Amino acid sequence: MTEEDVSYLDAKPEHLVPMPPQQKVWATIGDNLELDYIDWDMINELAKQFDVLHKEGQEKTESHVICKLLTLVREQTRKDCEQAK
Amino acid sequence: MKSLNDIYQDGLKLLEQDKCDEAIPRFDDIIKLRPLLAGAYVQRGRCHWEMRRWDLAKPDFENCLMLDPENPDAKWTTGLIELQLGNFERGWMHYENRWDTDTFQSPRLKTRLPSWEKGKGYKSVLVWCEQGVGDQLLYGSMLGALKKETEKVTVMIDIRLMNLFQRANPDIKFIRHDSRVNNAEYDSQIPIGSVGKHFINDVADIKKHRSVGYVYPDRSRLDHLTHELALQPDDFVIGISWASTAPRIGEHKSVKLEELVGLWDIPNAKIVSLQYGKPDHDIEPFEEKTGKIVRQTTVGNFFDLEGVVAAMSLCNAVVSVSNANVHLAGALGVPTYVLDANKLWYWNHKEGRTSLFYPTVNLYPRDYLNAPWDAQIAEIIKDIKERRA
Repeated sequence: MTEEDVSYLDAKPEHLVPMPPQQKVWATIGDNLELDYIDWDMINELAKQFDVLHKEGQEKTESHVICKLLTLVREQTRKDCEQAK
Repeated sequence: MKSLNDIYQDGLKLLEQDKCDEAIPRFDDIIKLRPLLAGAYVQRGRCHWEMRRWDLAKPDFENCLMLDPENPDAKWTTGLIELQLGNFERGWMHYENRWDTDTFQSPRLKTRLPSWEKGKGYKSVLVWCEQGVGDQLLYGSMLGALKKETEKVTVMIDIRLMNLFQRANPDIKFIRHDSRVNNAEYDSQIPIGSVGKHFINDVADIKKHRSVGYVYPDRSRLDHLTHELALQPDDFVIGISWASTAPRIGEHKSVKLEELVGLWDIPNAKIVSLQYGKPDHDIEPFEEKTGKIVRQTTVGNFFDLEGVVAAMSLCNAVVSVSNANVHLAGALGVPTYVLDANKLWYWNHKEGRTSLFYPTVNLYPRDYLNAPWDAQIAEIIKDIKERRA
């Protein structure tokens, strides 16, 4: 299709509303109710975004909060395991 | 002695500082000396408009148009005043000039499709969004009327509103605002803000063509939030938002959170923040100073409008300044109390306090541009208490 065959909003950067983060599957629970898949790269990235947003006093999405919480729980679990040794 | 240009600049400076009544004599002087200077009429008209003196603002814009018939700002503002006053034919005609002004920042559709016109036999129309979420909700109330006229209606809408609109309007297709659309699928297009001109030619038409309850919440989000807020049967839940982030006019539309403190005296009131932007900056000092609690949910009030709608559905009342939340609450049908800063033409159309566009929205207009809000807030609290009783 050429440019003349389509219609679209002629948005300049200043017109753009910030888009919500893309919804991606970053964890799944299997039929046996155990963790099937988890994407730690993405969790770490969103947790870092949480830190920046928090510092700037900006609004965070539910995904940001969950991912930050997951990294904190992972860190705490690691410390608990080390102490138990 | 000051030059005319100095006096003009003084007037503009005063207008920027919201000192409209001090600016007017400056423009009076200029008009006396240079009665053919179109710009002076525009600026004086702006001052009168800000002070709610529409009868004085209108002739100033008309004078400007006589001197400079193609002045897009004067045409657009005249359109807004006429719409405000209920002169719809002239109002809609001039409202179309919004696209030619520098101040109207909404992106336009790049297209070769012709403009949709009522009664011209068009069968498939592409409606495209413009302005903010609130405007899209307001004009979106007329999409049902458009569907009755056209077989196929597809609407490019702000992505945050897409599911909300789609769930409640299955016979219309909603697509994201950044879509690229194949022209072969349509025979016409129309910006959402222009739909009104084909259906509202009289105040009575507003009630006739508006939709009511044309968004509703997702059940699972509702259950989740009910649990999260730990609501009790006696709770009287009031959703609040106190700020508008609209460019240029947001500050005038906003109130300080502290000014709403009387809401906490309503028996069993549980106050929930629906505010988007950076509410923490206001909430933390407010709670510290007053000892009152503003409940916040995990909903991101800017991105997650599904969540906002679910939260609003749990509210017995919403108290808000004129921002997108008012339109969401109105489209949903929640009793809403609006601190109206008189900036928007559509809030002028009401029966008593009730908006003609949204039958559950009640309007409490500010007296003039920078008047205090005390009387309006006191009245809202009184009205909520009376409704509870």
